[in-house]
Amino acid sequence: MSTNFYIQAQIPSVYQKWWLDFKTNKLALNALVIFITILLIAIFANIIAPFDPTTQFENAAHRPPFWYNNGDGRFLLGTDDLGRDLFSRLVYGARLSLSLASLVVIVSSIIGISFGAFLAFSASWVDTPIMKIMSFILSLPSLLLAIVIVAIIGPGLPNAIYAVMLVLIPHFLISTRSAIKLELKNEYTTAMCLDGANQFQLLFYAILPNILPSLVLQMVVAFSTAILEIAALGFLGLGAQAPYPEWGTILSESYDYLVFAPWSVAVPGLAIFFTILSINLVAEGLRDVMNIEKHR
Amino acid sequence: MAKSDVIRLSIKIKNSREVNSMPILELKNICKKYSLVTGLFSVNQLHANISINLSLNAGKTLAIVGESGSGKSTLAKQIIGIEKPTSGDVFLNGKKLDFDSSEHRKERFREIRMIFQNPYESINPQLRIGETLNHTLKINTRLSSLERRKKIEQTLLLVGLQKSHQYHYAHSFSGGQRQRIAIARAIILQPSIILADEPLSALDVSVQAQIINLLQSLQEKLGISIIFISHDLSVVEHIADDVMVMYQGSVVEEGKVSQIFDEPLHPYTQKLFASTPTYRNRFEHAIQTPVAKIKKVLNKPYCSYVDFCHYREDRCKTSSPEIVQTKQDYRIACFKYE
Amino acid sequence: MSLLHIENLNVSLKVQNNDLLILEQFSLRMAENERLGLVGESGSGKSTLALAIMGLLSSNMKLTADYMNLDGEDLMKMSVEDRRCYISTKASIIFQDPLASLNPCFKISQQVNEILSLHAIRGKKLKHQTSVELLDAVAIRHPENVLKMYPYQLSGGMNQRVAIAIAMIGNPKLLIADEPTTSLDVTIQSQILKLLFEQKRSSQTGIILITHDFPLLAESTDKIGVIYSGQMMEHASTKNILKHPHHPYSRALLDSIPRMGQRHNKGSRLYSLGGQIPSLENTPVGCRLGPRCNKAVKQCVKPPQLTSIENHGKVRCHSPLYKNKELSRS
Repeated sequence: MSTNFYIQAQIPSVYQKWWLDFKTNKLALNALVIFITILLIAIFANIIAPFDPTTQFENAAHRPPFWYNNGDGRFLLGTDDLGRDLFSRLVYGARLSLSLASLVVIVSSIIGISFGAFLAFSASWVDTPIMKIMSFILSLPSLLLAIVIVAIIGPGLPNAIYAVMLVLIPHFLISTRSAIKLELKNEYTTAMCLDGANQFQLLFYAILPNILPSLVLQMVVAFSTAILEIAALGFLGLGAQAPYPEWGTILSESYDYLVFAPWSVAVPGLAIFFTILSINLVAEGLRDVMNIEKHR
Repeated sequence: MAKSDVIRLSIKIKNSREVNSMPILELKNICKKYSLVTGLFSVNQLHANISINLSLNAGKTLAIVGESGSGKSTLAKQIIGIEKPTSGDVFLNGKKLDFDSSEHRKERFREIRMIFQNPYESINPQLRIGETLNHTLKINTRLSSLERRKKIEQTLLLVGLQKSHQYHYAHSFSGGQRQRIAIARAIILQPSIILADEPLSALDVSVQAQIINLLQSLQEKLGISIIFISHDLSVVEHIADDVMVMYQGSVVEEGKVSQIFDEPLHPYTQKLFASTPTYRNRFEHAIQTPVAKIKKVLNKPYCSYVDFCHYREDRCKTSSPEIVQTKQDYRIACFKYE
Repeated sequence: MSLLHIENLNVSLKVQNNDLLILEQFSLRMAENERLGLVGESGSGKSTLALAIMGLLSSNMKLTADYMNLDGEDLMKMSVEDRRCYISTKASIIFQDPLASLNPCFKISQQVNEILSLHAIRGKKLKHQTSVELLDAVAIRHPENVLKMYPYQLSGGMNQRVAIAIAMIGNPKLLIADEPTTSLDVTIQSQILKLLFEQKRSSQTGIILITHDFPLLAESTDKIGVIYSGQMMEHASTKNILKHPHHPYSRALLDSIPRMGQRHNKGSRLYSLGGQIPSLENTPVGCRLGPRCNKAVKQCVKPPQLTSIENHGKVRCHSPLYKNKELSRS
């Protein structure tokens, strides 16, 4: 029994191997650290933020960050036009952005992957028309499509979420269907069919382990896309409305005061930038790591 | 006594019963046609298999020899149950197998197991070897987790691998070892028949010898019958009891290995021998100057080998020879020998 | 004068800060018009050797040699461009997969014409005439029709013939065929080989035939070289190697081929060499065959050198065999 443990520990599983390879990529590793920091800030927002995001402080409007001459030490990153602490708003905004993006990705991936798997296995006539529709949707820029959808169903945070979800589903559907169809052509899938596996057994035992890398990668990329699109919709006034501390919304509110309160635009912009950059670098690292596996 | 001994004994009893009675696998009049759409309104019929009759006895090895286009892969797919024959029947242990019945399918997948040609593509690269074998057992048996583990280890030892190999992934193994894994996957369900589709083509010469030896020793130990598809005549001579030569979808000659190798009669078989360096000298004449192609009469049958045959007569251009039994355990499809 | 003379060729591959030796201390001498067969299993480095001679190694591989002489000129003394120019006039190569070596997007005529232009044959009419002659020489019936086709419309055997025709443009002095028939049917195999060696007879070309199939070489070659794990293990005339293989590996290769007449007997086994080819990262100390060799002696921990044996050829072994070995010829 003990020998078995030892041997199992010696030969890393596919996922352990990915982590070991990932660690060697310094850039991706640092990006992951940054992202985890942002995640922790979002999770512990109520402990980290000194103030409530909606509290307005009298006589404290447009205060610059604390390192400026006329900065106020209470407000680390300054205040906005209504005297609200920017730092607290950003911290709560992180929580909002990340949680909304997670929700969007989880729901759209579940729907997209399930439908994609269903289409891949079924040989029915619906396959062709659905694929044509999906290809058409994919050919449009996703942000534009989200804007159009929100313009149709009306602005507001819930509608923005629905729009982004709808826009992301085709990506998951098409890539899942293609990946599964490709796997079905492989000889080892045929071998498993010859073992007597039914479709579910085939999917979970043979196919899923092979398509998991690309699915996971897609979910990570979708996560970053979702954050960006929610922020963009917020900026355009079509997504989260005031007083929600959503980053895009904060950006649009501060935009009017760009000239004499530049920090109120720079800081939320940088928050969005670093979040998305770190996620994308992690995705790049994942792509390298999982492709190495594929070459074997 | 140990469970494995019980199993082995029951196989021996099963085989001894079969020796005097029916063959373990029989194919009667198997035909397979594919329809190819060649134009807006025209459809071509591709006759992949024409009226194949096959019988395999327990514990014996049948070799199917043919080149690309001979229909041997299509025949293999019909035996194994991936394709449904256009007409004809498959009998396993005397029982007719219904392609659409899921019960028959399960039995077929358990009793007839396949080894693929390419060892680099037939094993799932994302699963450990033990997991692959475990899935096979989970789908087909009701063994407990511990029993499955024992069976996996036992099978790995049987094919010349080690117990610890179950934790490795496919990429750590060489071609020969991967083919052993494929053999392990085939025998783990204790089938009566193994269908090996060119299992040696992708392997090096010295490794081929190892795998041939392994197959033979497994056949002796477990009493398995083997259908061996190959184009390598020297391997066929070594391993087969009976030989079936296929050309363009039908069987042109079949018989015991001694008969076919001592005195191949069909012109195509002779050409195969002439093309192999080891056997060349006796059949030099069969591959000399190519003969001119014949203009075919529309809608009239003709012998499929007529374009290359040195012995062709007029009747070869207007009708197709049936396969007939001219001797004990020997059949040939050629007008010259009818 | 020898056509090809290689002395101490080393080809290494750089992988993650390691230098893996694919070919080590490789030496070869080939006369003009000679038919040389190189046999080795996968991983032996024989394809790398073909690419090294042709100057087609990828950029992450490093080549060093004491001497690499092709038809009198030392390739190591030339610049990369000059080397490529020189090799293109003197040598040609045919690969295993004919569909991969012909461009699927162009007709056969366009591909042949491209090479003809490179060999200074110009003019539409002249090119067409030469193309037809070339295809005729490789026994293609109706060459005009074939010229108008794309590679996917032709069978594997036809494509390989076209590849041979293209390779023979410019009358190279050396033709390297890297497993030219492995992916073809058996009956086509013999036709293609016959064609290859007929080419040689009519145009004074030396041929190197690389394969893993020993019996193939028995009939067509003058000399055979046995390669194992990046080194030349034995190099002698065909007759000698087949009758008395001096190296244990050559002997093992010949033994593991099923012999004609050895019918299916219950219990009869083929001779097989246990173990497998050492991976590039873990080459054994001393003789590469050491761990698998049943004739290994204590000396074998020291790497053996290629030594000449009189009336035979060269062998790299501390204790070569001297027994009579008959390969049963039909």
